[in-house]
Amino acid sequence: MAAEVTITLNGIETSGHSGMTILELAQEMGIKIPTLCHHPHLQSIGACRVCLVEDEKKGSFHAACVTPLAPGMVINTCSPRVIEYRKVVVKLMLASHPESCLVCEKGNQCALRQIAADLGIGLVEYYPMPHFTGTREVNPFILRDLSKCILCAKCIRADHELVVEGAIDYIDRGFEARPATITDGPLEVSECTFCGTCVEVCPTGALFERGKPHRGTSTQRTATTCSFCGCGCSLWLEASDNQITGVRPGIPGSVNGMTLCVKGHYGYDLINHPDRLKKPTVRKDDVLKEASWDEALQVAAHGLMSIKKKYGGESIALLAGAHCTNEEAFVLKHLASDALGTHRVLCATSSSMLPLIRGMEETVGFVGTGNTIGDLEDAEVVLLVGANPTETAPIVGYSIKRGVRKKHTALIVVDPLETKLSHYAELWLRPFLCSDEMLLISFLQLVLLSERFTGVDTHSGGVDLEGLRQRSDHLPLREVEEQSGVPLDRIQKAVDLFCAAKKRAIVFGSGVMEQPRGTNMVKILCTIGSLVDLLHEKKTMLFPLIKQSNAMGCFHMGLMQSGTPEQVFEDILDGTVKGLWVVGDDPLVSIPGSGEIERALGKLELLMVSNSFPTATGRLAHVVFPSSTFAEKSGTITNLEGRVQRVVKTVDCVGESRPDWHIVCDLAEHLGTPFYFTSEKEITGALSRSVPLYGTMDLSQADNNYFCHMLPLTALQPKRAFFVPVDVPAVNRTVIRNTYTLVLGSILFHLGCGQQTKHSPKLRAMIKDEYVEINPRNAAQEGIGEGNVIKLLSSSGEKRIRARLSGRLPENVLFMPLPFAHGTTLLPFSREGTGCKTCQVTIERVTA
Amino acid sequence: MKDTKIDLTLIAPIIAEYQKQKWALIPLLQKVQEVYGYIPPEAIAPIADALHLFPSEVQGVVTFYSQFSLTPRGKNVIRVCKGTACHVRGGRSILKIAKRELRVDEGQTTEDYQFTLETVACLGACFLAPTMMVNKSYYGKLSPPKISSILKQYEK
Repeated sequence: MAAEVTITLNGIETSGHSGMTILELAQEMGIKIPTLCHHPHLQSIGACRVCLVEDEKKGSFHAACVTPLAPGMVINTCSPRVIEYRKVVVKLMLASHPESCLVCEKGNQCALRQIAADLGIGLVEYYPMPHFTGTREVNPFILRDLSKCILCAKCIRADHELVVEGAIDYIDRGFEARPATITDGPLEVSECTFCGTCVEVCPTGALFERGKPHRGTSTQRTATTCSFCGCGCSLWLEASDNQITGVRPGIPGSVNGMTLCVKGHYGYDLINHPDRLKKPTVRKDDVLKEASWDEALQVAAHGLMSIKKKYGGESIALLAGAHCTNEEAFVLKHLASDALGTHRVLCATSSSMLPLIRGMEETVGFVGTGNTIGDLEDAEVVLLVGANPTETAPIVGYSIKRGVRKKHTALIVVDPLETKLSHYAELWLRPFLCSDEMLLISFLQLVLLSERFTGVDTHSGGVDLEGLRQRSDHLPLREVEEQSGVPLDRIQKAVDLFCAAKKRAIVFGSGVMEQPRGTNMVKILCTIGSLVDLLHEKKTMLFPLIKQSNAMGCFHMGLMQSGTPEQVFEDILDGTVKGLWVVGDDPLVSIPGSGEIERALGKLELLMVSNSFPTATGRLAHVVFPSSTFAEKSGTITNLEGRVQRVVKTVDCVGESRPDWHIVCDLAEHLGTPFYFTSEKEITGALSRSVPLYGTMDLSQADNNYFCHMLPLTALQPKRAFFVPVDVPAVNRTVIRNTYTLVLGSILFHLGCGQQTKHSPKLRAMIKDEYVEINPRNAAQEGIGEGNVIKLLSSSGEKRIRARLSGRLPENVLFMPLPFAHGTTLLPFSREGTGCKTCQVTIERVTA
Repeated sequence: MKDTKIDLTLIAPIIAEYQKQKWALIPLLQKVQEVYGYIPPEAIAPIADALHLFPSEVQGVVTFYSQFSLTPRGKNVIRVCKGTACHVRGGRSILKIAKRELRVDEGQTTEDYQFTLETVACLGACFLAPTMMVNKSYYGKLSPPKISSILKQYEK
């Protein structure tokens, strides 16, 4: 506990702890000191001088935000001299500020205007010297008007301290000084990721959101959860006149604090998109025609019942997208078991989750992590394997980067591709493509051989270290250099770093989970973590990066245990499955091998689709239900940490659309087995009674405030089974001329294959053209230039696409963002469902 | 000189000397400027990378200090004092003559990249007013004829 310091503040004797600033103590006492450059999440720099206070003993003035308490101080925050000085400071700012308050985007949320009003400043008698700024932006998200900049450096600090992008800093000096990107260019050619944190902290109208649907203060707001990626950021969803008007971060206790990413911050424009489905449609005479809810439900129920009668309940399958709420997953599961009598109810992403589930359950006994994203910031070593969190889970990326830049986390990256984080790495182990398993095995073997274990009881905690070592003896440690291209001493260095650290984290992503041998790789990583746990008090944080917003919840609700969607489609092709309901997904786009999928969908006797938008699958459906988006429904979702948070209804449903849980309940009623749930809260109650993991969750206290409940993921079974692989696949490194490995991955502006994000006009505007990245040397060999159209040919199909030269790729590797790759016949259909991250292709030049 | 491509290999040894040392940004930049005569904008990214800084931070420092320049400067840098003492002793005409002799304005560089003309607020040698500096040498008690002879020494 810090020592107590007593001072006199506005005539009252009071005390705070040492190290506290005058501002903090005043805020604690409820004394208001105006501030412009201060922000609780940022380091104070005392730039704006608006928080000046007087030390009455010395007669000196101090900026309250940076002055620590000193014993015996006599501080006055509002003496006549303080007010006079403060007025001068604000007037000087106004003298160089344009007189455009009437039309300013910031409106009455401008802190400068508020402070001027509080001080009673009307006209400024100083000679006006407004700045001219000419930066023009073409990006769809953020606009800058630096003539309104007061040089508080909040944007710069947010950029450096919170999201750690380094896109902007001051340029020049004196009157010319301003925040600028490198070479003072527009934001889109800088490192900026358009997370909008700078816009959020800007006190004036210098930074603002482009094309905001509403100026001024919104009339209502709700604390809800972003439904894009697995991070589960909390945000204020603001609305006026039943329209979403903006998204703002900054909910205390949330995963993200002041930050968000471009998707969460600006992707909300999909909610009011004109393409939204507004009425149910039913196929009549081979055309989808609008129908009433009653009619559509009737048709659906009738169809389902007749299939059940003819072929049995098992011939019906339900496929849910991983963005549905826990409540929706729960009622779907019930609909399947109670009303339909089928076990085929599954999540569309289960094929990428299954390796993770199997791998973690068989080694550590739980799935997920026992830590928060914030914990990553404190890790001494982060081992990042096959993941690109700055694009797929930005909040995790911020956390790792903060650790590296501020607290000196040593980051070890294992990735064949260059990513933003590989530049932050202490060690970047860059194995050849598909040899990462080999590299991880040798990592494990080196951990086992580590001298650090010599003092450790070889049978501690039931671990037979000697036995493990013997089992690992056959592993080809010597071959790893040749097979993976990573020198053994670098792996050794990484092992030493990892074993020595008291706080360790292993973060892994789709590069591990979505590989044909993903389960093995997950097991190896868990084993490495558990082994090093024997050396230290603190456990290794295991951090699988789960992509979709509620993939965790879908797993907990039991939608991952009954196979993969690929198996369902195979069963449709076999004729075992006759009826399919797709809820919030578009398998024609999201599952590799669209040719096969289309053939399967054509064989169905009944295809029902519910989605907020028209989908490729929906066009083939017999019945389409319009469902609401996250802004129009309530429920809970579980993020990748196992944090259950609420999604809260903010505006009325668009058109006649209904929340998916509502549609499920309606259908159950039409099937003659009603659930009697009248609100989603009743489902939450039923869910926490029947799913033991959610048993301690209590939603009754959750009103309009932020709600979160951490699931006791690791408390269940502290199992520790070690895994040493017995067979090591030889890496086939023979490069066939003109054959390339196509790697598919996520990009910042779209989540996964972009099913939701592609409907956001702003996000869509960022990626205008589909492209495939190719190494410049390969491009030269093939005679391909930047922007040339090329044809990719795989065993199952082809695609014409523009080439983009990129030095971040190894040779003979192509990278294509997932949204462009899906819905094509390029990717082969595979029953196993895994291994959809890569495929072999050849290139053909297209002469246009 | 103007159109030649910048040979970035020259900065590699300088960067290697200060690798990972954040504090060393200014001495590093000074050495880079000694080699090239200015800070080539292309050098900012590798410098930032080596010191674990953001390129924008390095740019901020470069543009803050007037000793650093992002554009090529002359072989010889002339700094004419505009301080009070020099002003009353005729510093203004010293600047005027320098401008006329070199046929450039303040802050500009001659076409042949021999001279860059700058002004400073004070050179701290007021007792020698009016003064100017050429590179690292001081010239005091200046008079119009003296200027041309000084400049001649540096012409090549």
